[in-house]
This record gives sequence, C-alpha cells and structure tokens, in this order.
Amino acid sequence: MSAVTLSENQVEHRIDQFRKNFDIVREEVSRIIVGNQDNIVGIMTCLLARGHVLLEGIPGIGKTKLVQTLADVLHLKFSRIQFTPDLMPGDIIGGAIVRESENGKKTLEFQRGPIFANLVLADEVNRATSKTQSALLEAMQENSVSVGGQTHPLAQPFFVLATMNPLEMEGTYPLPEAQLDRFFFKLKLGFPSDEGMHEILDRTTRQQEPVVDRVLGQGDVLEMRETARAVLVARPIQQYAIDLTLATHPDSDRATAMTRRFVRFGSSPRGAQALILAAKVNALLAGRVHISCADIRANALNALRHRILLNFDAEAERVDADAILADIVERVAERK
Amino acid sequence: MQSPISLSSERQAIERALQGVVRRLQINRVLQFLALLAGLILLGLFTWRLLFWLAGTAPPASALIILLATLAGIALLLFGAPLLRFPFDERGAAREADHRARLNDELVSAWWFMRDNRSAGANEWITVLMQRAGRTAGALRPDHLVPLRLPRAMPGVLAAAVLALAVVWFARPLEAELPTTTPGEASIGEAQMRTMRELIGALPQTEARRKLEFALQRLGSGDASAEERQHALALAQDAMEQIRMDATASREGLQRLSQIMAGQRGLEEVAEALARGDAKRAAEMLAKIQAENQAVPSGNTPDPSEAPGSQSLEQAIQALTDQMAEPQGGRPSNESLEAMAERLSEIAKQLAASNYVNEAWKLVKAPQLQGARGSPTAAGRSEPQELDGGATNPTPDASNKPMDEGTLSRSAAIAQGQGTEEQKGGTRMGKAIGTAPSDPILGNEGERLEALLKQQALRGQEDEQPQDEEQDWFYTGSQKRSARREWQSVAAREEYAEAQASPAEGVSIRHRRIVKDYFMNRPEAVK
Repeated sequence: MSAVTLSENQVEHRIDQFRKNFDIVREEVSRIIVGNQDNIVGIMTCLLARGHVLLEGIPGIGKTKLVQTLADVLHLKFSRIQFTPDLMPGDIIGGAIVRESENGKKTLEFQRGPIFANLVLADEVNRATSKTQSALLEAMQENSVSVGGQTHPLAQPFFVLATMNPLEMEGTYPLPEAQLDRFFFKLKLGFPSDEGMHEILDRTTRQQEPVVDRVLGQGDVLEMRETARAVLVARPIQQYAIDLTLATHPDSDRATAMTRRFVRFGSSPRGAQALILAAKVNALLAGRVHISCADIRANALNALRHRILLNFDAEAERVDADAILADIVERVAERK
Repeated sequence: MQSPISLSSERQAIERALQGVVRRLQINRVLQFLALLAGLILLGLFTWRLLFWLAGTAPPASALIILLATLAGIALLLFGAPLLRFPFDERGAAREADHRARLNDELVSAWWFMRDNRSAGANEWITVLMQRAGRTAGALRPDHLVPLRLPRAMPGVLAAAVLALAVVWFARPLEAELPTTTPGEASIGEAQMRTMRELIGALPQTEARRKLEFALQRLGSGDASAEERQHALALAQDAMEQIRMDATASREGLQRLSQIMAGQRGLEEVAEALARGDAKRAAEMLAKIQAENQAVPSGNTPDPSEAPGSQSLEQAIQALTDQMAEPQGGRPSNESLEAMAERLSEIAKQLAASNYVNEAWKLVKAPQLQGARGSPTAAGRSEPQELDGGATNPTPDASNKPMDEGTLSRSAAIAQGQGTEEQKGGTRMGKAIGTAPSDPILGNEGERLEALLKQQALRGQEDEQPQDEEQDWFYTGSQKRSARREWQSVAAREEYAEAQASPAEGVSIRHRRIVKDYFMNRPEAVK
C-alpha cells in the first residue's frame, strides 16, 4: 500500500503504531539485556533505517545475546558467524555443491550460507581476511549474494551486526575505512555498572532465566521501515545534516579548528544519509511527521564516529573521534 | 492522484503567526538600536563633561556634535545596517518561533513545504504537518513569544551611564580645586615679595637698591608683559651684581683694615675679627676699646670736619691710619674708634642684608628665569654669573678672585634666534665667553679702558697723597710719613697686582664697575 493514498488518520495511526511497536520491542529486549538502553535504541534504529551496525566492546558484555534476543523478539531468523582467520567467503555466503538426484543425475545446487538470515551476527569480523570481509560487506551493500553467476537476494529485513574485539589486535585484519563506511552506526558497548552487574547476575544465575516473547513479526518490521522512510525532511533541516557532514572535512569552510587539526579525511555522503535516516526514526519516536535539527544531533556521534579518519596528531594527543564530533555538534549552528 | 494541498486556513494561520513574530523581532531590534544609540550618546556626553571636569574648560560645542555624530554613525553601522540588509523574514521568524516555543522545527518545516513547489501534489504526511503547524501557529501569541525587551545588561548599563553623567555634570571642575600656577607668570608669592622688600630696606640707598626695588615691583605685578618681565629680570640681575660687588669691596676693605690694625697694640683681636670678616664683632670690640680709652684721654684731637657718621670706610681707615702715625703715641682717638666702630656696624648690617637679599633673590630668580626662557623673547644665553656674595669669610686676596667662565659680565639680553640686530632698548645678558658671535655694543664712544683704569689708579694715588707732601721717600723722619708710605706700599702692591692682571685672569672688584660701565657706554660697532 503506497503512503501516498493514506489518509491523515492513517498517518497518525502509523505513527502511533510505530511508536508502540518500538516501545514493545525495547521493553521486551530489556528483559534480557541489562542497561545499554541507548545501544538497544541505536540497534533498532539501524534495523528500521535499513542499516547495519558495528558493535565495539570487550568480550562477554552481551553482544551476541543482544542480537539473539532481538531476533527472538522480532521473530526473525538469526545466524551467528564467528570470523576466524581461516574463514573463507564461501563459509559466509555459501557455495555450490554437487547434488546427485535419485536417478543419478548430478547437479550443482547452491547451498546458502549463514548470511542468508534476517539478523546476522558477524562476530570479531576483524579476525577474518580481507577477502572474507569483502564477501560480507558486499552482501550488506547489495542485499544479495552472487555465486556462480547467479544472484541470490537476501531475506528482508537483512540486518548485520558486526563486532570487533578491541583487545586482541594481533593477527587481525582491521577493516579499512572504506569498509567501515558501509556500516550505518558504530555503537560502543560499555561495561555494566554495579547495579547492572547485580541485575545481570540475578537474571542469569538463577534456575530460570527470563524468556522473551515474540512481539513483532517480519511484516511489522518492514512496515515500520516504510513508515520511517515517509517522514518529512525540510530543506533547511537537511542543510544542517550536510553542514555537520562537511564540518568533518578539514579542507571545508565549515570545518572547525579541531577538524583542521586532527582529521585527515572526513565523512562520505553516507554519513549524511545515516544522519537523515536516523533522524527520521527519532522523529517518529517523538510522534512527529518531520525531522528536526535536534534529531540529527542526537545520532551524530553514532553515525559519524567510524567515518572520519584521524591523523597522527590525534593519536599523539589521544583525541578520539567522539571529541571531535562533539565539538562539531556544538559549534556548527543551524542556518538562519 | 491526490489533490493539491489547499489548507488555506492553516496557511493563513501560519503566515499570520510568522508575520507577527517578524514584527515583534523587528521592533525588538529597533529597541536595541535605540538603546545602543542612547548609550553612545550618554557616553559622548560623559566624555565631553569629563574633559570639562578635568581641564576646567569644556571643548567647543562643535567637538561634541562631531563626537555624537561619530558615535551615532557607529551605532548605525552596528545595528542599522544589519537591520536594513538582513531584515527578519518569515523563515527567520519561523526559526525564532521554533526556538522560543520549542517546536522542534515544526514551523520551519511547514514554512518550507508551503514554499516548495515540489510539494504541490504531496502526500498526506505534508498535510498532517501543515495541519499540526496550523494549529500550533494559531495558538501562538507573538507578543508573548517575543516580548519587547532590551538586552539583559542594557538597563543596568544605561542606568550606570546616567548616574556617571550626573556625577560629572554637577561636579566642580578639577582645575578649580588646584592652584593655578603657570610657569612664566608671577610666581613670586606675596610672602616672598614682602620678605624681599624688607631685606632690601636694610641695604644702603644706592643705585643698585633703587634698581632692585623697581625690578621687583615689575616682576611682582600681574599685568607685566613677557618683555617687561625680561627687562625687569635683567635689571634685577644687574642690581644684585652691584650689591654683591659692593659687599665684596667692603670685605676687602675689612681685610685692609685688618692688616693695618694687626700691628697695633691693643687692636690685635680687632684685626683678627676683621680678618675673619666679622665686622660686627670688630665693631663691638672697638666700641669696648673706645669706652676704655675714654677714661684715658688721648692727645689726639679729632678732626671736626670729619663727622663719625659721614665717613666712608676708606676715609675711616685713612683717619685711623693718620692717627696711628702720630709721633706722640700713634694711638687712634676715641672719636676715630667710635667712627670706625659705627662704620663697621653699618658695614656688618649691609653685609648681612646683602647676604639675605642674595639668598632671597636666588629663590625668587629661578621661576622667573624659567618663565623668561619660555617666552618668545627669551634670551638664549641667559645665565647670569653668580658671584659668591654670600660668603662671610672672604679670602684675603678676594680682589683677584677668579670668576667662572670669564670675569666680564655683560648685561645684554639676546633675542633667541634673532642673531645680531640693533637693540632698541633694555638690557641683555649673556656669557662673556662663548661661541656665539659678539653682540653689538651699546652706549656712546668713551675713553679707552686702559686709560680709565690708569686714571683710577692715579686718582687713588692722588687721593691718598697729600698735596703739600713731597714725594721724598729718602726722608723717613715722621712716623706719619712712614705709616703713610706703608699704606701706600700696600696700595701700590695692590695696584700693581691689578695692573698685572689681564682681563682673562681677573679684574679687580673695584674696577669691575668701571669696566662694565665702559662696555655699556660704548656705541654700537660700525659695520
């Protein structure tokens, strides 16, 4: 059903439904995952904005559990891929196998890989070789897999949540910046607080662990995606997203002093896309039909932190991307 | 296909609200401009009045007008130009309303979709946006949303400026509280004038005293011009110089008297006092001796033609010498002693008065010279020679005392930068030795200086020599004659030394006046 033919009431209904579904999912996930409410919202935002997430955090803080819970709540197919140095692209996307029929005829049959799922957890993606990484990234970009001259579309919604272990860097293959740019958000999972630890232990060390309900289905998720896309973006607001993106470029007239000093390369236009799409989800959560500059600012760090390349001065002075982006958000004003 | 968005009522509500906000924003900006202008005007008035308070005189009104005009121009540039070039529009008003009412850019988005041609056949999402924005705009009150107010600090700043202006407006000028003292004007206070007059009164009635009194009168008057002051200053300098010369001549006389009395029995202490220059002490001692001698009549008969009070020092010395040369005893008579004592007392008073006048004049002279240097006709070389008139113990050979930078003192005021030109009148002062070309000499042609000096020497000899005495130094019969000869030898030695003294090494005190008058009375050099 096209959004153009909807009535005003239906628009309102869709907005309300979107908010309601979102809250249900968040609450249900929160029954298993302690804390990290912002990251839960960020992951759902990426899912609804048709993006993919790069998760960064130490092992054992619940990354896998989070994605698995989300898949259970949304009743989506989940698969986990543990990336290792010997992982081959065919191990991800699948390959052709020879199958012999009953009459002895041998045919090639494509056997799908674990990537053919709705929610894919690519664990420690930086441990695999570049070739294997590219296979995943291509699938993320194209939403399809090409094997043996045949294109196999991936299931929708298709959502990849990749993780990188920041501790063990030896023997790893860091994702290049161009590949990092394909991820919609980069979220940082922090260590739980004391209260969170108590909650985690209470939930996971008892006889019965909480179980989530399946509250939404595949169709609901797709509908929510459509609703998010329909949110209005006025040109002055869009200009603000462009100004923020260009402010990450050191040679831009909108660059700040920190950008000129510490940034080597700025964000690509994908960063502006991420800002707008994430702002749309934010606007819907606020019950609005239009996005505002505040919606853009709310997701600026998640959308841009992995898209700017810092120079040696930043490494020497230990200035991270978050500090630079915070400075940009503070200094770049909305145009009058 | 969906029909284009009509929503006329929502549009009108949005436009009406935005226009109201625009008006309020513009009025606010005008208020800010007026407040800034008022602050600048207050600043200009405060500056103008502050200058008046500091200097005592206000700058001309034109300066105030220019200052205010400049400040108004600055205010116009700061606020007026932006007001004209960047007026508030509906987009700015929408943004301002969204910000003040926390509408999350609802009006900005609605305004944009209202203007966007691509939204003509848009979807229901725009319709929903417009409807929502219309309701929001309808509920907006621009007067509440944009209240008319000045910047937060402006009322306080304006109040402080008004208060500061009131303080300096009604405050007395600073100049009125300070005594006005301008260099070059009459810096002689009444007390100093009074002191000078009293001290001058103690001086004998001489030409120098009259000159000094006249000069002080001119210098003390408030209506004298700079040239008159310059002339009076030169006159006073000349008078002071004469006074000092007279004092020095008196001290030399005391020295000679000391030498005469040194060989007389009973007058040794008097001679010592005279050698120290203590005329007062010598007079007291002579009075005491005279009182003692009254009990012992002496054989000396006083000369009735020589009244004690009318003798000069030279005459008193001569009378005393004659009496000491008497063959009968050679002791001075009581009358001579009395005359000498009276004369010495007068000399002591004169010397003391001269010292005091000299010291007082030093205090009075400095500011006068400062003002004289500052006047257009100030002398370029106006440093009159300082004679040590204050010494109470002159050296025995004070007659040949060398003077700093020459011994000749020409009193001639030179107009600064005017070179050598004829002087119409007045006096000029300047250093005797210098690199500047000599000035034209004033006065009439007179006798040659050497002739005048010789005449003085001869006159002195003639005055000392009795007409009826023969110059037979082979016959030393009478003590009177021998005493006279002894005195003559002293005088001869002195004259010989004076004669030998060149102008560069020093001129006798007695002859300085002659030399000065000589140069003063010479006519101008013929070119």
